[in-house]
Amino acid sequence: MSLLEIGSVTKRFGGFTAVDKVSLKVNKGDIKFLIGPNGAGKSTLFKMIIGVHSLNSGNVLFNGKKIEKLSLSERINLGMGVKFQAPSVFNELTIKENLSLATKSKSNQEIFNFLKKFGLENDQEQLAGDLSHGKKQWLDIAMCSISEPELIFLDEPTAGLSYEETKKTGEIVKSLNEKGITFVIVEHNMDILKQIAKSVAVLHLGKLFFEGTAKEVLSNNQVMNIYLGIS
Amino acid sequence: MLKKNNIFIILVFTTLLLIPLLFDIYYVNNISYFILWTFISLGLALIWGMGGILSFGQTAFFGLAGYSFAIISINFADTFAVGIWAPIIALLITAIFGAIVGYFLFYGGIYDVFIGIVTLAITLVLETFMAQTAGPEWAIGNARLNGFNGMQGMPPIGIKISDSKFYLSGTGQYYFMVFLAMFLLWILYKIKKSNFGLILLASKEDRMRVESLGHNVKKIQMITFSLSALLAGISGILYTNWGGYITPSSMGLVAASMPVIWVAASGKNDFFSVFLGCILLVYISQTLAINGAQYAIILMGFILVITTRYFPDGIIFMLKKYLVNKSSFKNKL
Repeated sequence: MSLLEIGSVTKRFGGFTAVDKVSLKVNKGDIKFLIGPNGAGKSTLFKMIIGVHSLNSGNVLFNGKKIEKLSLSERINLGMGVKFQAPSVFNELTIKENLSLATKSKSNQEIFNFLKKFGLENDQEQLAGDLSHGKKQWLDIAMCSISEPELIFLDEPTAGLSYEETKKTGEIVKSLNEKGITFVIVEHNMDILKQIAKSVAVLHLGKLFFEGTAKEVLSNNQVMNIYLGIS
Repeated sequence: MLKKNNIFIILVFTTLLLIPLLFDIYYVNNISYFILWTFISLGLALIWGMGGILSFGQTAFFGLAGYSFAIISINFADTFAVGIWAPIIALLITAIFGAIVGYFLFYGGIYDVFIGIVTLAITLVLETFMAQTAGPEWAIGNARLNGFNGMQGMPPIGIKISDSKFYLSGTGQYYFMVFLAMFLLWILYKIKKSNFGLILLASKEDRMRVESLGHNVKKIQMITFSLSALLAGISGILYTNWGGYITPSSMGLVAASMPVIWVAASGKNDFFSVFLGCILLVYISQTLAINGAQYAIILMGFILVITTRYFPDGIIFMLKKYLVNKSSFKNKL
């Protein structure tokens, strides 16, 4: 049984169909990338899965349980973590307070050890608003992963990051994945895809265009054509 | 060791506790009147300062609690201990009404400026409704609603046991309000430091992100709205008890805007500043109102403009900060 099963989901905004009968499966332990050109429907699909957008048709199963009628917080409490596109840390709270919001059961020592992965262990009392963009992205990932959910969704985790920061983000995701967390990542950045992707789904014009490994996707001419304009 | 901020708070409360020993009952009753308004302001500081939700509905809850207390205590005037359980039931009614309004607001997806509009509308509808209840047909049991003239003649808060009476009035009422304020400030401080408070503070910045961390923000906002209604209800009941009357004008447009001005000018993010600022601003309003009510309203409007432009954190909060820092500066010399 797959951890997440998306069955023929459709989302229409007025007369425009943003996501058209997309079906996808995410297996336990996977790092699945969701890629496609602008307007492909990646973020809409992401928001449909986590409950920000309702579905016009189709269903979403998490661990075999139908979740499409649940609210965002109810889905999260089933064992999901979410990071939105822009860093959504709470600027007026400290790093420690930001993490306290995301977990109730961790001790100070556990939080300290966990933050080491992200290089934030010595900044706990700093206001999140004072962090650099890169550190905000990592704090955001820390917030959605500290409670050790089964599945984490990341929407463009490397947006605005330098090459080194992107590489470190990849290492963070990989180390969390090694601990058993499954990832679904919406991304444009091919470097991190090459670094950590285990499977890739390509969306185009709201439809699932291609699915395979990173190598298969990158060597597929049609994908390169629609995605990068390379034939 | 006590923090300087706490020393300042202790000094203010010590002064308040000494007032009945230094001034006659006329002044004590007047200061009671100023203090009774602090509870409605603290409720607004909770929902607005901590939760980021600007409500103009505080006076609706104030009026509802005042009228409920009056109606219950008039109807059951001869029942044992009506002066104890009538205010409690009135508060429960207010908190439940607050929760119902909160449910429709937050689960209905109403946010930001629309909350201000809806809550103001509720206040004005209640005022308009109560103002047209002058006829004899508008009575609940023995309690005539009396339209714009309002209700009076309700038994006071307290209890009568055989020949002994323990009613909330004069100095007793004053001390009750001061101790209640101390207790509620302590509760609010605890809420602010709790996980509930952290979620509420965070939801002010980004509701969806808080939801995405597994918290039911709508439920937390609904509970907070109900708590703020309860605090406004405490003011409503104490006001009705203090003056022995309640009128629809206590829910009017001017009345609805006053708590917003008091809280904004005092510093909505700091409960103690709101408490202190509210006492001072009501005192100023009262003093000016002796020469004409319009002067107080004009001054309050002026204070709001100055606060918004120059002191977004609140004038009283800034003054408190200055006084506390100044004393620490002196200690270093």
